[in-house]
Amino acid sequence: MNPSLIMFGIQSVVRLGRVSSAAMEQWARDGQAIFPLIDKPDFNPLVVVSGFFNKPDNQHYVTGDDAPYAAYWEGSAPKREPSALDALLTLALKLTAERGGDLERKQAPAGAILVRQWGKKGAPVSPWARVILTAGDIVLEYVSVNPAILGGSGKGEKLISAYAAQLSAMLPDDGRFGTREGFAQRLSGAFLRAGLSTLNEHPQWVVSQAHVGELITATVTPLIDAMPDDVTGQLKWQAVSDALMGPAASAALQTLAAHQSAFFGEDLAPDKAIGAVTRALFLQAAEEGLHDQFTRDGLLGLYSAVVGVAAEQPQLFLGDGGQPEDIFVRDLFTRLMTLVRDSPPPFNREVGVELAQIALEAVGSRVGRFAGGADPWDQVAVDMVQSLIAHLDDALTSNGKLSGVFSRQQLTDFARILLTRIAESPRLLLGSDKKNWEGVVVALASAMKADAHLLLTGEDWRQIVIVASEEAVANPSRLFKVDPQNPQSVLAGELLILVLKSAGEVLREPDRKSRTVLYGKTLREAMIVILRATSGNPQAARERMEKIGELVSRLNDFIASHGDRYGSKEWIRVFRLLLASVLEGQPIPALDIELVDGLLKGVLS
Amino acid sequence: MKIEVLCRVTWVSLLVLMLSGCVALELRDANEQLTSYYNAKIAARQAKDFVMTDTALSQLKSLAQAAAAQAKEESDPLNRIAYYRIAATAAWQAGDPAVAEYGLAGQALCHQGDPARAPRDCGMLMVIPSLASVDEQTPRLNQLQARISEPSWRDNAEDRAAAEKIFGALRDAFDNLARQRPTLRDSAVHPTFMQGLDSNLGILLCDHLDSSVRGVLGIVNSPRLPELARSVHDMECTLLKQGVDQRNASCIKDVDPQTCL
Repeated sequence: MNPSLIMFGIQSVVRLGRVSSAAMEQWARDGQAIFPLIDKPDFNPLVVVSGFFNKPDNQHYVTGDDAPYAAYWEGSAPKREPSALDALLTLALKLTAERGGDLERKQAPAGAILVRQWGKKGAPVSPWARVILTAGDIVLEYVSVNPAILGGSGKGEKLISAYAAQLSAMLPDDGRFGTREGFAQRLSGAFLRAGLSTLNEHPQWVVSQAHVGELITATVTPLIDAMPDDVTGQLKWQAVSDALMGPAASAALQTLAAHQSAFFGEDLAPDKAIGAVTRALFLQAAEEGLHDQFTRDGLLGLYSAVVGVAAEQPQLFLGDGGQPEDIFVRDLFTRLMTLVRDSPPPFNREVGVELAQIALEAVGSRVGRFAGGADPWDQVAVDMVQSLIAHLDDALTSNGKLSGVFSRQQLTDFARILLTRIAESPRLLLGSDKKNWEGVVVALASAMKADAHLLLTGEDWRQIVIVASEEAVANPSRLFKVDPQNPQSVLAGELLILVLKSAGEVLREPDRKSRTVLYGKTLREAMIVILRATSGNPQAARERMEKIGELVSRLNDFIASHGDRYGSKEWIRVFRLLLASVLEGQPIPALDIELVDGLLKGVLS
Repeated sequence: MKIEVLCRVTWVSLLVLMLSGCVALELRDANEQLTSYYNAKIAARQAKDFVMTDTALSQLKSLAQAAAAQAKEESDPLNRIAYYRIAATAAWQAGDPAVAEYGLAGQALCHQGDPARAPRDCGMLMVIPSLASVDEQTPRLNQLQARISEPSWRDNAEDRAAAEKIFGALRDAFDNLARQRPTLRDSAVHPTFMQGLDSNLGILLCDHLDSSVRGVLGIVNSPRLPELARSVHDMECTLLKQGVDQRNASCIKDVDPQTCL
């Protein structure tokens, strides 16, 4: 026998076998299969009647003055009397029949439909006509577009090893992980993908396999354990996880890369703490639902801020024995999300979330300073956001034109400057000057309200906010002290309003309106000068408030009357000099060209 | 000698054919078992034979586990999808929460390749978890209906919360199914599949939400009754716009299309 003939025979048999196998498998796959129908609810006359007459089209039979069957109806349901139910059921059956329907059809049992694989269009010609695509492995997929990730540093391999080791630890040896296997793989996969992206963005990251591994375990295992047993719960949990896992893993690993010093050595507490925060995020999202983009982005924004705190201060998130505690974080998420949601626009969406993030970052990064204080750091952060939103909203509502002055970026910039500076001074938040930080917000908000003519731009206000917060931190109980009897009256605010009012008065005089320089940059500088000059001597400022107002008015009048000779720079220089003398108790001199020139040349002081 | 060699070749070819046909036979068997156990369950329930019902449920659950295990063993993606379809359907009918996992595992395979390679199986894998979620809520709805119909029942917050939770879950399920419907309609799926899907959508909308849940929310005096009215109207409009036949969703026949604009 010719050996090649034998080979041909064997190959033919194998080929035949393959063809047959493919054809038979296709036949088995494409045959009829049952498609069950869902179970109908039980037919319950009371419920059916209630449902029927609660429809908008049928309500007029039972509610309203002319309703013929109102006697049988109470609130939003039939009266609990047999005669009422009989009468209404009879009417419902009659009306349904008249409309061509059948109420009793609802009692039909469940059934199923037999369905073939293919419709007329698109059915395959033969098994050979289709190409079977190979499932892409995450690493290969990523490496194909980022080949450098597996370069000489070995960082990529460490990530993959951490991923593989943790995934393998999560799966039992007998391979019977049950319904959660795929879920675990997806969650861990999100970490691997995020890790590779992080490495791409932070090439300097010193990857620690132990820490990455612990982070994945601390994050993924509680999420798998928390997966509900019922289908509805599982679907919701999986939907939440699919929506959040990628961004959350990314935020966690970005934190790991950005806070390298917190992740050195054998101390795995930061990883456990981040795990607790992540679990809290998911539980919160599962309870809250992710019905809109705001909820998802809002929660992720807060998560990113809290994860940064967890990396640096893990003990805050770990209970006795180093066990993670997510109840505390969930409570924090709930409080902040509720606060934002209940806030007036524009603080009830992204702006509010950004403010909350800023407060968490500002307070969280200095959390050690809050140890032993009357209020825990998280409460301080929540209070700060609440107060800031309340006062800014008050300013925006009272002075409607202001909303056109501030961009969203500027609003959040104010918050960042204020909250960051304020958090630098624990005295303002915790010590004897506790709550005086609110004085800064009150002062600025009341001044913003007073800027009825929009003499200042958003950028001008930003500069004023910087100086005000600096002065507040340096001397918290001076300019910004809140009087418990009159919490809306803060000295710094009154002084700023004084200057603003004076600037506004000139605008009411048509002949000088066009010649005044007290607006925009000059006005901003005047307000900064007054804050700087009075913070050292608030007592004098309060006592000579009237004189200061008079000085601003007279100087304004004088410069406006001599517009051809003096301008903005002169205004500020003269104001600075005369303000110092007024604060020292000197009378305001008569303003004339000789005096002003002398002051400007430094001859007079 | 030649005859002996030819005989051997023939024997080998038959053996290969038999072996290669094993997968197909197992798949066909699993499919037939699914139909058989499902029919047994329906018959037992109609006869109110609880022992038989339990037996059928147990068989369906075992079949689901076996099919899911086989899906992992298979190398051919289309066979894996078919096994996951059987596993998901059986788990759904058994009331086994694993239905979500089987459904998602099958969907993942469908998305990795081209869902058009197995339109019915991928279509079923897409909708089964939501349908199973509805079937999970139905006994809860039935129990709540029975409880609030008792003469001694008094208005209480617990039943109100239960009713609103059921409403939320069923609305989510409807939204999921309705969102997927256009893709499925445009696929190569057999028309009977769409009939099955539309019948299920019709039951969910007309029997569950429009009638039972509305009735229950009214009885428990829920403030979310107006929200349900708006939701149901939106859902009816969705089905109308998607061209669902009124025979599959009787409640949409009363909807004025002008109100859906």
